[in-house]
Amino acid sequence: MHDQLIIRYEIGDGYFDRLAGSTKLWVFVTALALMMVSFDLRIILPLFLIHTWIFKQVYRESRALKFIFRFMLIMNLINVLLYYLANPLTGTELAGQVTVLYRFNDYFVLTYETLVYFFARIMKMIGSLIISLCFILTITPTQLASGLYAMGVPYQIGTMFSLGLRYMPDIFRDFTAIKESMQMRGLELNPKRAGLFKRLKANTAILLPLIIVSFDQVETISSAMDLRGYGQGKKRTYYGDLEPGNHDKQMRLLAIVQGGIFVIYMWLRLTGRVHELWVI
Amino acid sequence: MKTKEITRIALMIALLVIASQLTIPIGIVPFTLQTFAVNLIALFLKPKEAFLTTLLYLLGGLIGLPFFAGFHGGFQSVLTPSFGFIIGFLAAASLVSTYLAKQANPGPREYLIALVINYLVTNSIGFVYMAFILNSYMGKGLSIGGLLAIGITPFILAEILKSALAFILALRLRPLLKRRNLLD
Repeated sequence: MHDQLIIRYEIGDGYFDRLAGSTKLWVFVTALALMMVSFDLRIILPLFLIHTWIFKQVYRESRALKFIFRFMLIMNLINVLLYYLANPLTGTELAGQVTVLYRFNDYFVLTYETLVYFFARIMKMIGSLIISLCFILTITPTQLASGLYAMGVPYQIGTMFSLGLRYMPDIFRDFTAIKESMQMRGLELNPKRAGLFKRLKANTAILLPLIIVSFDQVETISSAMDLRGYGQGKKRTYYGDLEPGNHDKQMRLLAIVQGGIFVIYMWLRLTGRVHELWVI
Repeated sequence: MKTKEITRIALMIALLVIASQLTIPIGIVPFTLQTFAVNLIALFLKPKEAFLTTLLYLLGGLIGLPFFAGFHGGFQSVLTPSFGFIIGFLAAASLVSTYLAKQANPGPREYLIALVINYLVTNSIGFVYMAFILNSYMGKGLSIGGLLAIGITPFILAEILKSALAFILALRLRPLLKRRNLLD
C-alpha cells in the first residue's frame, strides 16, 4: 500500500526530512528549473551529483521506485535512438561545431557533439527524476500545503492537494474491502474462471459502491472541517510543519545558488554568449 | 469556495491519480483508467470543480508529483507527445460539465452527447500537441496518417469501452448520489 504510493504521511528523521515545507519546495523548484534550462554539462553534472547524494540519504526500498527507474531508463534510451535516426547532426547544430568520429554513410554520421548531447540529455532526464524523487520522498501532504501557502498560493489550493494525497490510501483500502466482500458473495474476478466481459462487469460492480462511499466521505470530512472553523479567515497557520532551523538556512542557500545560476545562465543564453550545448 | 467543493475536488484528484496508475492488460494496447476517470469528472462535477480538478492534476504532475500514468511527473512531461491529452482533459472536462450543468435532468441522450464531446475535444487537442512535439520539436516529419496511427487509432476501441463504462456508471450513480445530496 504505502510501498505503491511512495508519498509519506509523517515527517521522517533524516537531515533532509526535517526541513520546513517551504524549504523543500524552494530547493525542488530551483533545482528542476536549472536542470531543465540547458544541456550544458557544466551545470548538469554538478547538479546531478549533488541531488544524487541527497537521494542516497532519503532513499528507501520500494518496488515502485525500481519500476520508475527501469521505465525511465528504457524510455530515454529508446528516445535517444529515435532522435539519432531523425537527425544525426542534432548535437552538432546545438554546439555550433563539427567533430566527425565515424561516418556510416552520407546521412548517418557519428559526431562527438551528438554523443555529448545524448549523454547530457540522459543525465538531464535521470537528474530531473532524482530531483523529483528527493522532493516526493521527503515531503508530507501538510508540508506541501504549508510550503505552497508560504509561496503565496491561497491555502485552499494547498488543502486540495493535501486532502487528495491523504485520500489515496483510503480509496485503496475501500476498494480492497469492497472487492473482497463481493468475492465472498460470489463475484468472480479470476481470469481462469471468468471471461473478459464478465470480469469487466464485475469491476464495474466494484466501482459503483466505491464511488458512493468516496462521495459520502466528502460529506463527512467537509462537515468536520466546517465545524473546526476551516475557511473562516483569509490566513491560517500550519501545525504539522516544522519551524525553519539551521538545516533550512543551509538548504535555502543551495536554493539561492541554484536560482542565481539559473538567472545568470538565462541572461548568457539570451545575449548569445553561450551555445545551448557546451563541448570541451 | 465552499469546504464541500474543496473536499470533493481533492477526492476527484485522488481518484484521477489512482486511475492513471491502474493498467488493464487487455489485448495488444495496454491502457489505464485515466480517461475513464476524466469521463466521471466531466459527468458528475460542477464546471468549476471539473476545471479545478483537472487543472490541479496537471499542475501537480508538472511540479514533479507522480500523478501522470506510469508514476510520471515533472516539468519535462511538457516535452512528451502525450502531454497534450492531459491539456485536453482540462478543456474537455470543463466543457462537458458546463454542457451538463445546463440540462435540467440529464438522461441517456445527454450523457452520450457529453461523452462524445469529451472524446473529441481531448483527442483534438492531444493530436495537435502530439503533432507539434513529434514534428517540430523532435523533427520526425510524420504525415497526418502516421500521427493518427501512433496516437489515435490504436486507442479507439479502448476509449469506446471506457466511455461505455462511464455511461453505465453515470446512469446508475447519479440517482443514488442525488438522493443522498452528495452532488450539491
